[in-house]
Amino acid sequence: MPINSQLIAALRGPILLMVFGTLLAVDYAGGMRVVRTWPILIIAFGLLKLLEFAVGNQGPSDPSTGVN
Amino acid sequence: MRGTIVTPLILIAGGAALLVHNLFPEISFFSLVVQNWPYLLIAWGALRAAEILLRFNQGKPLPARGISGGEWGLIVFLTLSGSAFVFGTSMKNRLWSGEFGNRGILIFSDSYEFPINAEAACPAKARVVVDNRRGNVRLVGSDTDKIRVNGVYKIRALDRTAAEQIYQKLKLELTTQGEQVVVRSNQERAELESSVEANFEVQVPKGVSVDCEGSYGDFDVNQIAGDLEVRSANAGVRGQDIGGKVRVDLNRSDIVRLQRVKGTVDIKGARAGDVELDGIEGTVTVDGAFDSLDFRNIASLLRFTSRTTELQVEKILGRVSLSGGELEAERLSGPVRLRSKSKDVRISGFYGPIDIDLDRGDIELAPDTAKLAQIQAKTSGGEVTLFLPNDAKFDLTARTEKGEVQNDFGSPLRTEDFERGGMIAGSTGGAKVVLETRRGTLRVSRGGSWSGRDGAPPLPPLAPKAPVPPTVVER
Repeated sequence: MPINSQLIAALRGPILLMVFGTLLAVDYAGGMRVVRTWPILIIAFGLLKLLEFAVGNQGPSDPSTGVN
Repeated sequence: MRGTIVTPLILIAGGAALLVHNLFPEISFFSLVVQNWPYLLIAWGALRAAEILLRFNQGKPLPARGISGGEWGLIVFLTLSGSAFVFGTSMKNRLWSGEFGNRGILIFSDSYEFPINAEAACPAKARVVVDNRRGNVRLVGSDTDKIRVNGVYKIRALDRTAAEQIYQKLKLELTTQGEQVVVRSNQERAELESSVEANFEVQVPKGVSVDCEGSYGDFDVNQIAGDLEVRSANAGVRGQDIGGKVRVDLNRSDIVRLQRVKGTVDIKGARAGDVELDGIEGTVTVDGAFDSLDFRNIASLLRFTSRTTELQVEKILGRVSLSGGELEAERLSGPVRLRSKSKDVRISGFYGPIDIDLDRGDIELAPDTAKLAQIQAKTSGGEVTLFLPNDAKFDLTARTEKGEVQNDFGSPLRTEDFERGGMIAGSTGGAKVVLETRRGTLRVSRGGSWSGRDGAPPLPPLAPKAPVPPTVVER
């Protein structure tokens, strides 16, 4: 089954949650503090949106997803 | 998302964690969660992602949002709670350690050092009182009739002038009142007590008794003929060659190590690290919660009490080691009495009666002599193994309500199997030996103490003495 924008949209939340958890775990392990690394969340969100847009353009259009 | 697997998994994980907490009370479930909660978020996200991919592969409709609004709310709550708790713990520790003063002055301050030098006549059997709130004290008995104090004050202040003013207020006090000599570092006179630390060494006549009081810092006392008493909120205590009795009363401590004490030893610790006692001639009483305990060569009764364990041993010729959920012992002279909620017990080379009763844990016993005294070993859940010398005299009854029985000793012991359990019984005309487990394997085998038998390595040696930090620092 080909990847579509709906799948990317559904995965967005879990992936962002994993990224957030990883940033916190790195902070707790004595690495970079979350107050410095939080922009990675914005980058991840942007990348996922971009991927969603790219996949959406390849297949049939889906009005419920994509960059608004 | 309806029919999600995350909620039941969270319930299972939560139930399993609480079960572990109930079965192993020594494991701090709460601190485990607090230390690792970010991984819960990662696991949560991974489970959700896996669930979505599974639905996608099965061609089922996908949710518009992988994580619902309510879940995001819960995640925010978890994050804020976890962060607040960790932040609170960190602040508490920093306050305890004195990193922050009540005005925050220490953040911008530097450390300045001033010498401590004092000397006075000291009666041969004086009671020396050392009052040092912060800092390390080393006290050594020697052939002298004087008391000498050498060391350094470390004062944190905004500049040297301010530090000098504080130092003038402190000035170590060395006073003699009859048979009592007082060494006082007067840190309470500083406006901000936590800004002052005094590290010093005290030389005293060998015959003195010592009474130490402090809040933070270690006490190291050597070669005195009298008593030693230490009261501190947070101190490492080391004592060697003490002629009298020792009494240690601590709230927190990383270590209490005593070697070669002629009198009784009494240790109380609300929440402390390691206790190491070696070569104690008097009765030993230890009461409190400790990370690990190591007793060696205790010539009189040992009595240890904690929230989960009670242990009494008449005499320790070898060693008893307790850490986490384990107790290992070699060469004990009974009577030995042990009560514990959860502990795996291994005792080798003992003689005299022994009485063990566990809520949970394995028991492995190997008496040293063929002339056994009474043995009673019970556990509600765990294996029980007894190694008997070939020519041992005993009257044995061993029973498991649910589990296997193994008679590796052979005749005259006979085995009887029940529906779910079994028993081993037999007599060679000696002392009563009773073994019981409600759930677990029961085994009676040939062999004496651990020595010469595989699978039971000797206990590791006692840790070496920690180096003593210098009391005078060259700047």
